[in-house]
Amino acid sequence: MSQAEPFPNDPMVPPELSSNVFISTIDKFYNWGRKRSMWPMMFGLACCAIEMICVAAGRYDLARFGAELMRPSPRQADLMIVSGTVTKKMVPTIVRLYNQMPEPKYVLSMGACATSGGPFKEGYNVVSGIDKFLPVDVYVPGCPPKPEALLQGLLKLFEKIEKQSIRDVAWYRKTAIEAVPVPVLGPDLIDMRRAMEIREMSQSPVEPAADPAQA
Amino acid sequence: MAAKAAAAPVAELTGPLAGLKEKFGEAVKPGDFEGVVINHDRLVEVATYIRDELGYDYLTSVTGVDYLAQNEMEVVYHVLNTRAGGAPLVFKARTPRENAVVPSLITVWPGADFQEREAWDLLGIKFEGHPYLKRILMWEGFSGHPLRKDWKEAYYEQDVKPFDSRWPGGHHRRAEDRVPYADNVNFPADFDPTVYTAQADAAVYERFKNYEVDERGQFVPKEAVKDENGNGKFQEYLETDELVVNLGPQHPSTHGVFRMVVALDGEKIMHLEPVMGYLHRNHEKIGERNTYIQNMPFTDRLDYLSSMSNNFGYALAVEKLMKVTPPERAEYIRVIMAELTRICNHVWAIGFLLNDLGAFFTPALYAIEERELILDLFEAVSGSRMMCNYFRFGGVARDLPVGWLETCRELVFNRLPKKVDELDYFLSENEIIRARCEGSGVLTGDDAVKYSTAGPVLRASGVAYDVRRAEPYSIYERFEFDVAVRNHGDVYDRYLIRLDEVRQSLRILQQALNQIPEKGEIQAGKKQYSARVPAGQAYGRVEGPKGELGFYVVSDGTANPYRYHIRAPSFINLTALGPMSVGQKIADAVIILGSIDIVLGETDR
Amino acid sequence: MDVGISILVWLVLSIVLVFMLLTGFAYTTLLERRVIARFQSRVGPNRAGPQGLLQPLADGVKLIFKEEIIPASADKVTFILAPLLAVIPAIVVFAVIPFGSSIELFGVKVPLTLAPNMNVGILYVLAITSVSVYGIVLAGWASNSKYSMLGGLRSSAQMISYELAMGLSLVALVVVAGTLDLNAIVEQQKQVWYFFLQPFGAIIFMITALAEVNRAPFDMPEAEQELTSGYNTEYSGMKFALFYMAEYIKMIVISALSVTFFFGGYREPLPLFLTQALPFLSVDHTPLLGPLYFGLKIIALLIVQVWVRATLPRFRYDRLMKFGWLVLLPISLAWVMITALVVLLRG
Repeated sequence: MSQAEPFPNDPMVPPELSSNVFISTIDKFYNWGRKRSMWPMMFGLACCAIEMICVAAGRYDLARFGAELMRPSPRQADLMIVSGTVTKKMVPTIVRLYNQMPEPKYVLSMGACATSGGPFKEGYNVVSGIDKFLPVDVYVPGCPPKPEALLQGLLKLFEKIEKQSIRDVAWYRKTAIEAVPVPVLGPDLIDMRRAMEIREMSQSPVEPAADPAQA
Repeated sequence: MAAKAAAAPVAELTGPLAGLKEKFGEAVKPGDFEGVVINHDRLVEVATYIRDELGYDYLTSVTGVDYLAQNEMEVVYHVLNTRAGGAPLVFKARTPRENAVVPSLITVWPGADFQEREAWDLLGIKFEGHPYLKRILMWEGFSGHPLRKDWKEAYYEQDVKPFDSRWPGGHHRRAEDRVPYADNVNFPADFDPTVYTAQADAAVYERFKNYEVDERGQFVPKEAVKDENGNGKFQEYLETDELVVNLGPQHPSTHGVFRMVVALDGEKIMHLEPVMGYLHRNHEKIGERNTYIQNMPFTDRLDYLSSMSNNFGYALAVEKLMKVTPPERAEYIRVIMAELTRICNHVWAIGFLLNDLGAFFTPALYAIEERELILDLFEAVSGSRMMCNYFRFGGVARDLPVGWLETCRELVFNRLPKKVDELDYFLSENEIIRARCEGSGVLTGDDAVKYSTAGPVLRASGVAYDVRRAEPYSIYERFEFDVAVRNHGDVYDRYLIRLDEVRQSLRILQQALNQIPEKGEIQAGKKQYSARVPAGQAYGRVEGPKGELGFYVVSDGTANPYRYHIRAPSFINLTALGPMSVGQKIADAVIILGSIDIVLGETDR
Repeated sequence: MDVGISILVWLVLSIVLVFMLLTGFAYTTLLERRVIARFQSRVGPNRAGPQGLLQPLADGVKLIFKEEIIPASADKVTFILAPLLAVIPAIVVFAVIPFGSSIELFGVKVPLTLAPNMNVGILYVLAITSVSVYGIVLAGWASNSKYSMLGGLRSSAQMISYELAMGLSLVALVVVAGTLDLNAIVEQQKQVWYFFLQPFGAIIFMITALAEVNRAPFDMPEAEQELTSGYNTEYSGMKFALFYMAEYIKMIVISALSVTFFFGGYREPLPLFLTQALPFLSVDHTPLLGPLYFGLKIIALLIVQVWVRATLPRFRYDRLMKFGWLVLLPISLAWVMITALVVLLRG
């Protein structure tokens, strides 16, 4: 088909783009398959996990979207629903689980805590949002979000998937996608991507800039 | 702080405490609270006397308090008499802040285990004689003891709320912009992450006797290390091959982010080490910055399946200090909410126990169906399904909406009794359930008391202790109900007792719904944004669905609690998990954990 | 018959059979999801295509495009081989199962069995089903993960224990039938199903068959609550899909075997007077109905399996072994002896 003649009756498609028409039907099929078979990882962190379970139950029934097969193993999951407060003690495990998931994989941050730390942000054992470590695709606000909100988040994720094209997604390239380095539990949580920075700063602590509003 | 100066010392000791004073003389001093301070060189001796002679066989709460101004650490013990009931007996031990050491009471009450570790972890109080004094909520290697009053977290802004930056001016800056690492972290000076070796996991494996951590930080069987060639000797290796398996922190059946490290001989459990803290959200540190009323929504998120009874416990503790009593209608509303919560929680627990038994979600989903109906009621009164934030000091936040009572009556009188019978009918006599649950995870009554287990776990072992009966709070003495007791102490009884308790809750609900005044106040006094709480200390406790939920609050007369401690039943019940599981099969460990019914928000706080 | 034609027939038949099995597998997954949803008062997948009928296609598309991860510490060759070893035996068993009598097609008589005159059919079935456990055991071992390994170990022990009772339940059947040929066994059930002559044998066979394919309540090797995902914990993408496929094809296979042995195979599931009144309903009259009846019976048994999964909790591993050795084995042994005695006495 890619060698097919340009569509004579359709002036909108220039000859050099005609192959894209074919790609886009593949895309449609490809995206439809992924969208309709989004298996989340069976993975709950805190309060939000309870609402996540309720979404799978009779009243809301996640299964309608083909997403009820919650896989206990990250190897078989497509979607990580970060449902609850991400603590420093837990985040190495979460990052490791994310790294164990096969591409294409998505992250849905459910609730205020997973998004920003929420009501617990100031806590000494709380990470201010999972997006400090993982790329998040959809944020669902709420504390906890109602089941309807989670479903809406899922639909938003489907929308995002529909816009992707098999030609330019990152995961079929030759260069491997680098794994997120697993943070280490030291005197405090060590983000290994910032190891050098931390070393420098701990040796010569710099005071942060003064508050412009108070100055 | 002014906490201790504010209250006048209690001169006279009465009741059992007088006898204590007589027996031990100078070692026992009256304090400025309704209890005694015990000299810590005789603490174990006095504690043994309190247990054996005075009959206080149950240690309910161990709380560390940091009095910065007095340069003193205090450990507060609340002990109970499970046979006679009544209020807890309070005694304290004091020690200087620097190098705080107190003798461990683990030999007297083994249930002190986790709570002492917690006090060490968060406050840096050493408990002499504790066999395994490691961090429990944070990880080994973490710097500092966060609940000390002079310890400041990375995002520290000010000692107490409301922060000056937010109120009244309101020129708030993102916390990330204020702190040196632009993140919620702090490192000691001259810290070099590139050469750091983590100790967090090595400490966990320390108690596995056939294992050790070799010089590369790998966790290996001992025999393999001993070989001079660096290889495991094959023959010996085979003979003692225990497999160490990590269940969790991410695992389908640990009910959240709980972790069990088990050593397996085939399928048999040789040792089980519970590891927690993966959801440690610093309730207490945040709680001590918050104003009193600000803590109410945070209590919702403790045991997030039963927010209403958490509200209840906290409200009771603060009301004790404020000396207010809610009006009649509010009391009824509170009881109704608390009992609905219990039903919610127990049907959920039963459903998920069945899930742990491998019954592919079906019972759980039926349980959730009933829970949803109760959540609708909660949503109607409070605006939120799970995080109700409904109780206020001296009342409740809002009155019941029109028609609420009718819906509730329909549910309580007609639907739920039938559904409970249905659960009972389909599950209780199932062959596989009986075969798997009967006789597994047995906890004798003595052990249950010894390990300070609470709630259904305690009562399934034949100890009829229920706070609603032992020390009735609110208006519970007006209702007729039985304290559910079962005698075998196995998983099956812990399942049955939840059904019993649901039935009893329905009984209470039916009475309450018949007696509730049609109209009336729902709040004592005026609604206020900041509660005025006189200085003092109080321990408020309720019989939550998981067991005794206690709040220990120290007030120094300001707008914020000086100390805010939660006695979490989920956390302390786990003390019994190891002893119950050793010798059982790995599949049993999962259902034993399910039968304890933990919620991680409360376990880790 | 001409050799060429017979090879052609054989080729076409195998392609059709494999195609049927793969579609069957796909729709068994959907069947399970929909039926379980009904059991749990839910709806089940209904967005992909009309009534969710394209759900298996979506799952397939997704799994094909999914990244395949081979853990660094895994034994690579075995790791790749294991899913194939699980799925191939499951398909191959179907060679001896008759799914109809024979039909006339373009003047050629086509028997609706791949290997119609295999006179050691039952032996073949037993032999091949034993092979399929290797897939699981090797997967458990090759993954180099503790959960997988425990799953693999459980699986092999379980398989050995239940195979004995399964074999014995078939011995009783063979004693009555006097043949190992599955076609003959089906023909013998024209009047009465063997289920009624061999009730114990049938029940033991179905229980052990459930255990053979690791379905609930015997799903020890992948016991989610204990072992996360058991032997397939480390598998992703198409390799996982192959295990998935193996599991569901095995479900179809044991349903097909139960139908063949005990429920009259492709014979019409209708009372005698009805087929006498309406003779076109009988397979003898309309051979094309054979596969249809056969399929309906299989679906019925599949639903029973799903029902069991949606209802029962899991056994514990040691009790499972006890049940196999101390209950099923003695009963099936006794049943063989009783059957033999009865056959002997009746001459």
